[in-house]
Amino acid sequence: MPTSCILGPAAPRVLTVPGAQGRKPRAENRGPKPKAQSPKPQRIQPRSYHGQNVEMLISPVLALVLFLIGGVAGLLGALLGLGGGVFLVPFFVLVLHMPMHMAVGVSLITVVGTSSVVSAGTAGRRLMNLRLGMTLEVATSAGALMGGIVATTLSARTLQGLFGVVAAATAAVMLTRLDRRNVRPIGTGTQPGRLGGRFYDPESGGEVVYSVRRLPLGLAASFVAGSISSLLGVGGGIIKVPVLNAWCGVPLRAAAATSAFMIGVTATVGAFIYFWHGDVVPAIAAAAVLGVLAGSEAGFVIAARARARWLKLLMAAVLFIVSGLMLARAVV
Amino acid sequence: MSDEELDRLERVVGRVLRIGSLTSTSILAAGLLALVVPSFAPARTIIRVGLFVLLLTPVARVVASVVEYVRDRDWLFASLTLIVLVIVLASMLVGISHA
Repeated sequence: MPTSCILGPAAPRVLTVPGAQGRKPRAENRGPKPKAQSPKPQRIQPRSYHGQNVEMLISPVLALVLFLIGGVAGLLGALLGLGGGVFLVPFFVLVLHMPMHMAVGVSLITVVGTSSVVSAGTAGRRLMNLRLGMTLEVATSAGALMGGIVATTLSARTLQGLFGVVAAATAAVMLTRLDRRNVRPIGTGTQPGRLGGRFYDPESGGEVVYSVRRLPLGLAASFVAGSISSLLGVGGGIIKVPVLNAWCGVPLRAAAATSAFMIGVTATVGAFIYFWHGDVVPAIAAAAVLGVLAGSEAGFVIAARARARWLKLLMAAVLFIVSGLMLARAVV
Repeated sequence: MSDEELDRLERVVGRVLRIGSLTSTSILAAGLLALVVPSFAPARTIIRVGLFVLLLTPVARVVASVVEYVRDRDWLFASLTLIVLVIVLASMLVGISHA
């Protein structure tokens, strides 16, 4: 039965680097189908994916589960302006017991999809700062290349621990920025300079003009964001946006749009490395991408009318819990 | 770079991203459908193609930007985007060599 591997009995703990224990003959997975013996949810066994044609094993049920999980992650991401990765990876690892490297690889692919769709939507409003974005992209993609190479040498345990730390930091940053408003009042006399920008802000009803300060700091933050992206399967906006906003003088909405734009090429760099390393099961990625995109569409509709403060508090709490679970997974 | 040039760049970038994301999601949806509904369609190949279109969309956007910058004789930004392109290509090579 094609589904027996994925709907298998209690799978061994999956904490090692994918592939390290893999490559056993497929025949091992073909025992009599154990039916409904385990109350555990669907699990993906490591030895049934690395270097194997697992696409054939994806059942309609698993595809639906992945789509729904992607949908929830995309929804939460869009509500918070975070991107779905920070929720998707823990879902995959903690609920589906997916190997960490596979979770990161699949998540990176969904990040690419989200970036393209979101940026296609914002294009034409001058909200994305293309020149600033393309300058910082040199740093994010270099960071992503380094992070991706390093990630292939790290154990799942290390990556999970790092994820726990970054999730906690993300929640902390969110809490400190609860009352941050979008508009940063700027005198009309400002010259945008070579990297600055201007856009119409409906909230204040005027044109916002800004110039970019402390570019080296922005580049450094972008490099870190790029490495984190490849290591953990997130976009990295949580690092770039606050830095660009607080220290480089970029208004929040422009910083968020520019970051969402940069994330596409950044995550592509990481995704290519994971993909060719064999960590991405195409069918799993396909279901997750479609779920995340559907979820984030819904999220944008809801976000337009939701109270951001309450949401952020709730999500910070969720992130702290996720962080604790991932850390526990790394340590135990 | 003038405002008109910047607006044109934004239009080109937006168009590339829109076409890429629409194409890739359609292909992925078709592939998944072929996978879960038993059929003769080569589901695995369709899904792989969909993922490649998805991953190549930002790359196509970078290529389009290089072309636009060269057209505007903005050599600084042409070089910066070219560096990004080289890094993306390097990631493919790294991935393949690690495979």
